Amino acid sequence: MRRLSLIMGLALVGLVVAAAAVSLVWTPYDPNLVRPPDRLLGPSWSHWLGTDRMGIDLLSRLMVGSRTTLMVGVIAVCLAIVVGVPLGLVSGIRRGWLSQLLLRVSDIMFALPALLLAILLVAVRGASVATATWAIGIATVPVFVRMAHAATLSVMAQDFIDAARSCGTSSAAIALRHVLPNIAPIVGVQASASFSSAILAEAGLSYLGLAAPATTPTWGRMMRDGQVDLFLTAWPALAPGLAIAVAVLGFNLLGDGLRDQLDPRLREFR
Amino acid sequence: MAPRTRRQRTLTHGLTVLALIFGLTVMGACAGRPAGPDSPTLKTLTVGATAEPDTLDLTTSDNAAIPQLLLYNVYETLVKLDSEGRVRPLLATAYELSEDELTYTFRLDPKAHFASGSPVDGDAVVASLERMRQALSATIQAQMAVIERVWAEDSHTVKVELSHPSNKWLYDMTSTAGIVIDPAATDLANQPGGSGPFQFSYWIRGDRVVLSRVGDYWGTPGRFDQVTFRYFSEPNAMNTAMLSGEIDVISDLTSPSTLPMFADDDRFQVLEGTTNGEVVLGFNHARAPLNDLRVRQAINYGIDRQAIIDTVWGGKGQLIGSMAPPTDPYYEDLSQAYPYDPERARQLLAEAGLGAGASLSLRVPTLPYATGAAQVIASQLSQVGLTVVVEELDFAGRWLPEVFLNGDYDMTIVAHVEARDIGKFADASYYWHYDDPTFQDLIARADQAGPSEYLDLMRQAARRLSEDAAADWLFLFPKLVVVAQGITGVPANATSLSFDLTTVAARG
Amino acid sequence: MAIAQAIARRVGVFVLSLLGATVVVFLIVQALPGDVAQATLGMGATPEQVEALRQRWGLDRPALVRYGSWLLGLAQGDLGQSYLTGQSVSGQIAPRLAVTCWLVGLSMPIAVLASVPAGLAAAMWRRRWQGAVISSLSQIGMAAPVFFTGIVLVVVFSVRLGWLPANGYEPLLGPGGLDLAGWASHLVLPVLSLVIVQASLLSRYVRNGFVEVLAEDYLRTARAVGWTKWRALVRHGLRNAALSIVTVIALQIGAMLVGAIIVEQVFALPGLGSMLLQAVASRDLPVVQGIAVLLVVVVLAISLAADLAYVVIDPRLRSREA
Repeated sequence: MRRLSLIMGLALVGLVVAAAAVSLVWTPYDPNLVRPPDRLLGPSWSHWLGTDRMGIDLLSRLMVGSRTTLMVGVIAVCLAIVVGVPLGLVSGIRRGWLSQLLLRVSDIMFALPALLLAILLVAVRGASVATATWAIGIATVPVFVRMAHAATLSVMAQDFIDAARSCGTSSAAIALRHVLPNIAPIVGVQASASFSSAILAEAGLSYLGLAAPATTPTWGRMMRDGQVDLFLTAWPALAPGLAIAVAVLGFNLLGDGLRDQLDPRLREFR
Repeated sequence: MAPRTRRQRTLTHGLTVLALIFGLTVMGACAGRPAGPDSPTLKTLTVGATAEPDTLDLTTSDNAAIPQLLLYNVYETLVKLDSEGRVRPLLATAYELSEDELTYTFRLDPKAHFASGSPVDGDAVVASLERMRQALSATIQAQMAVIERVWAEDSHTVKVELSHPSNKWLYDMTSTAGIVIDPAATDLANQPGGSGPFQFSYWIRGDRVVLSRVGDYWGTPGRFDQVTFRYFSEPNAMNTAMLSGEIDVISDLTSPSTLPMFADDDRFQVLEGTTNGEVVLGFNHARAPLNDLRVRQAINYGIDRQAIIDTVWGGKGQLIGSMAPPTDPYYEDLSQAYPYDPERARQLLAEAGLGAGASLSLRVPTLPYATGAAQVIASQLSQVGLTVVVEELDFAGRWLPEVFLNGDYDMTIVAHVEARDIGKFADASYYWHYDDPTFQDLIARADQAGPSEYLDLMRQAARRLSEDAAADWLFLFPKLVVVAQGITGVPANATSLSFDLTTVAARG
Repeated sequence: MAIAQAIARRVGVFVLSLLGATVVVFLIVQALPGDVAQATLGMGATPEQVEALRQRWGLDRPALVRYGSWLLGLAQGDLGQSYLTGQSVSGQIAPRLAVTCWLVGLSMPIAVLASVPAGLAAAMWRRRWQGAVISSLSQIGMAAPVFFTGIVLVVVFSVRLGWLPANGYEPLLGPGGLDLAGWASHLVLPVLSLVIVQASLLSRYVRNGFVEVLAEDYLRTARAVGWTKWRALVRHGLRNAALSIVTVIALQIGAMLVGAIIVEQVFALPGLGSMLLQAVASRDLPVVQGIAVLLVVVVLAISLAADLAYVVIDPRLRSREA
């Protein structure tokens, strides 16, 4: 059961990654080539998922869209980790006014709902995948600050830290040698969860027309453009919707599986 | 232990009660009321529209959503255009033009009165016209600038003196600029007051405006007790509302690819009419490489306009080839001037020295026709070796300041909906920066020419634009209206800015 | 005493965070390109007309002065006036806020109610197929984007079956008096879309809360003193689950508002989301700022409430705070 989560998560994520990788070298059709005679075709041998109202092959567009999905997730989560984890670490080890200030600033950012931030940032910088990625990344930073802070506190409370302290180890060394390795697994689990949130956030923004232009294939945008023709043919909206669900499910399961592997207490009572 | 358990119990009980209330309400709702706003006692009409107005004050804004709602329905004008485009009396039973063509005399209908009960008299008309001369709306102010003097000769006669003869002014008077406002109405932004068959009832912002019938209307009374204009920012929401019977009319279908689902369903009828809306792929003439005729022609050859109509606008729309729709008297069919010919496009680009990989920006407002057409154009021009970088900009926030005012673009797509707007190309400071002395001369001469010569000069001007590939006229907007069976009299042609309710009726 | 101090400290932090957030919001809003005067007057306007309108709205004052006067107004509960309509921002927000509040306020308790039995069942049957089914359903509910769920619901219940309106809104106390049926029928599908996502998410936390209790020593102790397994589970497990739920709600309130905004778009509901998008598009900055601050206040207030709820629910935190 536990392993099942991990295996299914890996399989689904693997599927998305594989689609993205294959799309770099091959797609069934050009994902941007408009072919008016082929518009709104249902699934067939020549078009496995059918075509949209531009006559573009949906499978090709989905494959290329998976690249955007993964890219948004990777960049947003990396941004959040690179900024958030050190802040959480420092504020957990040095408990002075600086750490309090950091936490407060992080809380203020946390209070700005991600979509509000994204709507405003998009209005300032223009609607694009890059802007959406930035907005999602910035909105995710406080999650990692909080998480790293809490994890650091619990590590710092343990005996071996006191031992290290008494041997004269510097704070920086403690952070790097003792705390970081101990919180790394939790960061990994959080990263997987945040990855799926980032995918959903980008899809939501694209759906609202606040991220990718029509010429950039992304799943959210495909849903936005496809839903209009829903009653003529469902696939242009259905296919990207399912793709989003598969990717999110994959990363959620992966996160769950990882956590179960790492959390000895839960394993004990399997 | 004990107090904590009690707390939990309270929490659980509270939540249960909440759920029960909601559950019961839902059950009540489903039982008591099938979907749909109609009730047998009131005759209602619900119209789906795309853009909600910010304000209901016609004098402050050019937003077309306001006249769509209020013109002829709530506010009336002295004279009105009929469906054939002729000037007809409305509040004025008759009008005369003096021999020097400078003074108009309007005789008001003595029966006419506002919804508030006070009469539409000379003073009210003069006050309205004065208000329009001071209007915040730049368009109205410009239209009324020709007025020299307005006065009421008696309670039923108004005279207007112009600074120079103008046929256009009377035409403008049939629209927003000519409405007569109830002098008692002070808060026009929220509480419009006019003399029409309907009066403003209430407004749920973000959702709908409701008009109700004026009980003692002075003319032919409105045929509905209540008319609701519902606003949808997403075409999909409007389509589903129509499909599930919550609205009776889609006043302007912005997703024509969905036409088959209405056309093939006998619950609905689709009306197709004409508009003045030329969808223009505009070039920035102030910049290389689009200041080069060969590049502009190459783009015209490289785009399959019929394919755009088929994919983006559901096969509806007309090829025009210049800045004149077929309803203009000087129209000529120029749509075949640049047939789709990718080979010729490649050749012209090579002559102009634009090799493969040359890149152009296409910055379009986030409107369905513009973003859709941009996608097709990017695909087609990539076939002739031009890389097109598409950017979608929100209209007011970025397109206006960056593209329209600062000219920071190579190509853009906007529908120009004003009537007879070919003259815009004569203004070199306008956002296309098209500066062609030949064209400017033709337009200037046409303005002063007699009727027959006028048509000839205008024809030459339209041809000049086409020869010079001043832009790429993608297509002419159709007016697509979806109406539920049983509703009659919905105007198909966009002759005015109004969604004119005076002719609409429900059978049965 | 200790509790009072803890509460006072948290309220203080709340106020400071709010102040910080106003700065952030004001700065971002100031950076918006384009301006409302141009946006209002459109393509036909002359530069002089635009300038006159800017002056009329006080846009020519320095940014610091505008921030100061805005903050002063905020302190008195005045959000300023909309450029476009001339009405007070708070007056305009109120009816929109009501829609969003109903949406979130109804879906939250329903999601909590649905998640407790689902989570409990999943925990009890965690080694059986029933548990696997519940867990899988919750995974799927979490993974499906809320707009996707919403569209599917509309297609099934409005267009195909014709049971419920596809979209739109009817105020509870509208111009025609109390309209309970109209109000509720328009809210069912949007609320359901949100409930599916939120209940899926919550049920997983609830399940984990119960699983932890099942694994802990005190269950053994409880059994030893003669309680049944169910009684122990309900007593200890509910508290544990309540803690998880409070945590998740505090963490998720932002995400929930986001979900609500998207759901409003799908169902054409006149809530805060559509108002925000419209105000940003027309550059009606006082309205944008007003909504932004309101959202921040809501999020901060809920996390404050969650903090206080911890203190009440969990006695350990109380002593730690002292």
